Amino acid sequence: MHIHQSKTLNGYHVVFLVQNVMIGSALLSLPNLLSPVGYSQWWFPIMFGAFANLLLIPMIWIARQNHELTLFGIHQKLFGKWVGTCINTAIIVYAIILLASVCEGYLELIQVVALSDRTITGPLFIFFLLLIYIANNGIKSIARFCIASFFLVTWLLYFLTWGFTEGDIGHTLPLFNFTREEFLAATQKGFISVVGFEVILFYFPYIIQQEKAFRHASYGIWICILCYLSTTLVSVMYYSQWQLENVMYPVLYLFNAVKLSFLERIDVLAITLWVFFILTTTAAYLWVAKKGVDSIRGMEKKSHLYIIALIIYLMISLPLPKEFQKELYERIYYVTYGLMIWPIFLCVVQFVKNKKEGIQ
Amino acid sequence: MKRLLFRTSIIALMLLSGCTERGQDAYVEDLAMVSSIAFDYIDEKTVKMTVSIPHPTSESQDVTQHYSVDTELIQEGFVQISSKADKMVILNQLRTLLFSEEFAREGQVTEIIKHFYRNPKVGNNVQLGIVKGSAEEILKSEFPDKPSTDTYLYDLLSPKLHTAFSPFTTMHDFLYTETNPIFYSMVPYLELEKDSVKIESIALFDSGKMIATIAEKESSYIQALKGVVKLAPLEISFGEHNAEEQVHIELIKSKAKITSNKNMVSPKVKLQLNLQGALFEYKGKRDLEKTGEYKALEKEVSKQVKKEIEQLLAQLQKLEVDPIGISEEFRMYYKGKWTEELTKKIIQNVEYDVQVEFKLLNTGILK
Repeated sequence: MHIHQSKTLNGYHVVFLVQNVMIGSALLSLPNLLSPVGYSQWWFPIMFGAFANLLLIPMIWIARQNHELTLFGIHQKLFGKWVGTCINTAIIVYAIILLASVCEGYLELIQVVALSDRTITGPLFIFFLLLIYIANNGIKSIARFCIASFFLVTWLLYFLTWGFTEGDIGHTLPLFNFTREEFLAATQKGFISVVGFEVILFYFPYIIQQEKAFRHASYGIWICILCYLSTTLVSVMYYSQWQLENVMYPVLYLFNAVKLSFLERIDVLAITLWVFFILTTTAAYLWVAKKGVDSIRGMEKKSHLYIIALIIYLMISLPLPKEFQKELYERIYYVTYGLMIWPIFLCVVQFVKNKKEGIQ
Repeated sequence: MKRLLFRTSIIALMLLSGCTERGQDAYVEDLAMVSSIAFDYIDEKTVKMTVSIPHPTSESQDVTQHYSVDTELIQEGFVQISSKADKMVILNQLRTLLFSEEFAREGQVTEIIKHFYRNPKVGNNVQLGIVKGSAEEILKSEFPDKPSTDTYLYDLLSPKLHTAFSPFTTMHDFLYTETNPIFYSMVPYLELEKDSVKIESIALFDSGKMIATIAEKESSYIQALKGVVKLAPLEISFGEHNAEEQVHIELIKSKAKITSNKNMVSPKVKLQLNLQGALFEYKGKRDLEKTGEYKALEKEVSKQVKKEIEQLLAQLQKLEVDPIGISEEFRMYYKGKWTEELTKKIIQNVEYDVQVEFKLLNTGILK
């Protein structure tokens, strides 16, 4: 039976898929990314959530207009075969680079915090085996893994209570203490954290209750925003502005504040459990890349997945110049922002097309 | 057949992994885990660093090893120590950092703490202490009735009710107050006595330099005004020459509220302190069985505490420091970047209005 060709995703699958793909490594450094606005940053996740929810509207609209097609299919339908294929190739390249950047960022962190006396080749290999295993069985398998990892990791939020009790709630005031430049800098850096909900464009055809998809995806977004809000709020309370700017992973240091008699260094535990969030994010993008290659070549093959995984593995382990890599990984987020606005353009094209067909 | 081959190879892989040669990994027995480090001042560039390493399985008489080096860079110091030690020196179990008073007054503490804060191997709950005289001496002194100097120091600097006047500064706390333009750091000040170490007073910092020490009771008031709920017991004497009556109060609950007039030009601050406690000892002429006297005592204590707090605030104002963080009440309503100059300006011009309300909850179970 072809699991990919039938509708397989229930409502709760959509909620967790959206939520878990959004939470990646960005959460670990979110208070640092938002530090240009200083203490006023704590309510920024709410604003990002509202933005994300607005951007979701054109995405769902265009997907419902073509409810049997993924974004790759929509491109080919709207722009014809050649232009569509070109855009799709670009998206595949984008997904591959994004994947490499997420994996590498996380593994570097692991190397610094948990395994500082080893190289990361071994963990990287095991990570990829798991990644392929999850992505291999299609989007439903990823969704199930999302649900599992949500319950395995989110309880860590409880450890924020230490920071909360030690912190000073007074830091949350004043609310709008920043200039326009600071606001833009923080938004530009911090909006990366909500990237991930746009993957719904690719798995929309697999959703059973498509008419309710918007509501379910919104639930997902706001669960994620709630996690973000609690971490930024506690960070603002616990840190001085200098620390927000200079501590690279403020969330890890928050876990460092936990004092338990039977367990020390919760941060190491947290960072290793975080692999679940990274796995879900990367598995979803890997699946997207695989679907893209499938659509370009016009056939579904498992080998596509392996080849893509191999390319990413090589990208991470080959000694590319560091500056080039850094530049590439930073630039890739601009493409992400582009991809988020892209559906609005697609909506316009679709609208014009509908009108034309209506007239004919 | 294919499946059998697959399974055997998986099992073989699992078993074979035990044969890999892993030179870098060390067993716990091969590690020397540094538990405390003491820093003493030599000159502007050089620092004397003493580490103490407990050895639970040691066959020698002494359970703790000590190494001292003079060094300019901390990491270089560890390299030097490693070449002396019989085992690999690691920092994962670091608990206490001690600095001599001279070192703290020279203003090099922040730099050293930043170094350890950066290191992911070191946790943030490392306790800090300033030492009168030589820090090395405390680390090397032996207390025959205590299990080991390291655990003794760590326990001494960990929060306990009867020493709740102390801020129990951890590495994070210190960097937080040092890098926050509102606050001034406070670190417990230790003194070596004959067979023990005592938290003698509290060292006050201004821009990374130790400037003064303040007494237990004053520090207790600072903790109360900072909003600490459980405070150390309070001893108050009042009357003529502060000697007529004496009370010892175990504080059960304290509540502080600081409100400002939000005016940067003529700042005014209202400090309200609510204390609730149990009377444990009383020396004086009052008959506490009478309700009137009882109430009068409450009033008297409130008045005395108020007076002492006002004196403390005046003293802090003179030193131009503010460990309570009163300027936070102004920053919350200030638009723009808050700087240390603004804090100084507030401290210099602020007018305090102190209100203390003390309530006796019980006097023990005897009549």
